[in-house]
Amino acid sequence: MSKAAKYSTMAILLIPIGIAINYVGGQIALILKLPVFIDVIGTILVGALAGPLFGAITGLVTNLILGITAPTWIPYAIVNVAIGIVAGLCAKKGWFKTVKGAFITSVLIWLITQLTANPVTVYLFGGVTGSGSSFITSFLIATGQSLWQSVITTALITETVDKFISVFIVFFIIKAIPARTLLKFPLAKHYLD
Amino acid sequence: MLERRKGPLSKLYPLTKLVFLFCAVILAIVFDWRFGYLVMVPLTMFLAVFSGNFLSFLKKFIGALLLFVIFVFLFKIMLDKSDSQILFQWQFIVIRIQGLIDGLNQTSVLVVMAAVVLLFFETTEVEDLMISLQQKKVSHVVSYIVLSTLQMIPDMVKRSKVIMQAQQARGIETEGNIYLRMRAFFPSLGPLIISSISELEERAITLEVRGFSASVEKTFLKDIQSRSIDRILSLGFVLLSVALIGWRIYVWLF
Repeated sequence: MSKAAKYSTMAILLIPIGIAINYVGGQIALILKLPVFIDVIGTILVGALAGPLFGAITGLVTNLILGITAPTWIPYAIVNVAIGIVAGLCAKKGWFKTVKGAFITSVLIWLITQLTANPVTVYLFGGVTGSGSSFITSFLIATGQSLWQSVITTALITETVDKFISVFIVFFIIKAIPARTLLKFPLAKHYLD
Repeated sequence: MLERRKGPLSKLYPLTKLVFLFCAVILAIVFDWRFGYLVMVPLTMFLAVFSGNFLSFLKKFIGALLLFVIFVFLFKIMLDKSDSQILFQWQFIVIRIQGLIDGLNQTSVLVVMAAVVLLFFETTEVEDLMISLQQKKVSHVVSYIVLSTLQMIPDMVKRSKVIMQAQQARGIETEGNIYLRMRAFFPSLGPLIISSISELEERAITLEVRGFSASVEKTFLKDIQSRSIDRILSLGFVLLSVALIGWRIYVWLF
């Protein structure tokens, strides 16, 4: 088996795990009744370990598979894909290695989420997100704000903490993965000295 | 998720139904709410009854859309500043016909999408879909990712419950104030992720031993074939959609 083939088999195998982590992370947040979604940890982790392409695939397949039972997830696939790409690119810059880098990554992932999710919410869903946060949006609309203003404000309230927590969880998890396992992934050289 | 399915629609080739799914969504984007609510919703309901999955379909359909549809109508009615005919008025609540039409238009594409996607998976096994895609030269890696994810999710949910109980036994609080509950998050998720990743290499070796990366044609344990009715239906859906879109453009231009 060539080195490249071995790398890519490990990266391919990482994708289903990333998708399951996305789902289970969201479920644990629900069980613990936390006011955040935390449903993109897997995407960020796969992006950080295997690069933008694998991160993007994880994001895409996550939303398509969750769409089997909840089709309203499908249009948001674009957000999850964008997060995977950004996480992969930041990892290639070596930003998952330091706290400062992880902070920059959080800001970029937060930004790309705002840029991709809000247009989907406004144009396709008419401002509704399907979660409890729609109550915030409807309250803002009732106070006389425009749809865009209300959707963006809601997203700022609900997404900001969420994305920072997600990136830092991935940051700590990568720190906790033993070097001999980390070595098997395509981006290992960005974490090991 | 992979249980056997019966009924006439389940006998169709998965890609035939996939063509129908895409045609329906594209048409819903091109046409206004009347196509969605007056054509597609009754049609998918009828098909669900026809294939004997009506109750399960209806339950998922309502579950996926109810909250969304209610909120869209609420938003559209609140944002509606037109002077169209007033349908209902009570103190400060005013419902105008334009608000309702806006709501119908806004929800139509998603209602159609949800209806056809749910009907598709009510009548199609994911495994069959993947086999049919592979027969059309889609990489076996795609099948592996999708099918292995469907096994992985219930497996990881089960394991996360075991880990949470183990951590509770060690004294980590999963109830109480928000600060306590937040502190429980990482000990619940961290071990799950790290143990899954540590197992990866064994999985990779298992797959490679079975020839996952071998560059030869893959064989299937299960064989599914498209029949002539599948080809006729697929072609019919495409032609009908092209004709309808052509007609829509014609009406729009002249």
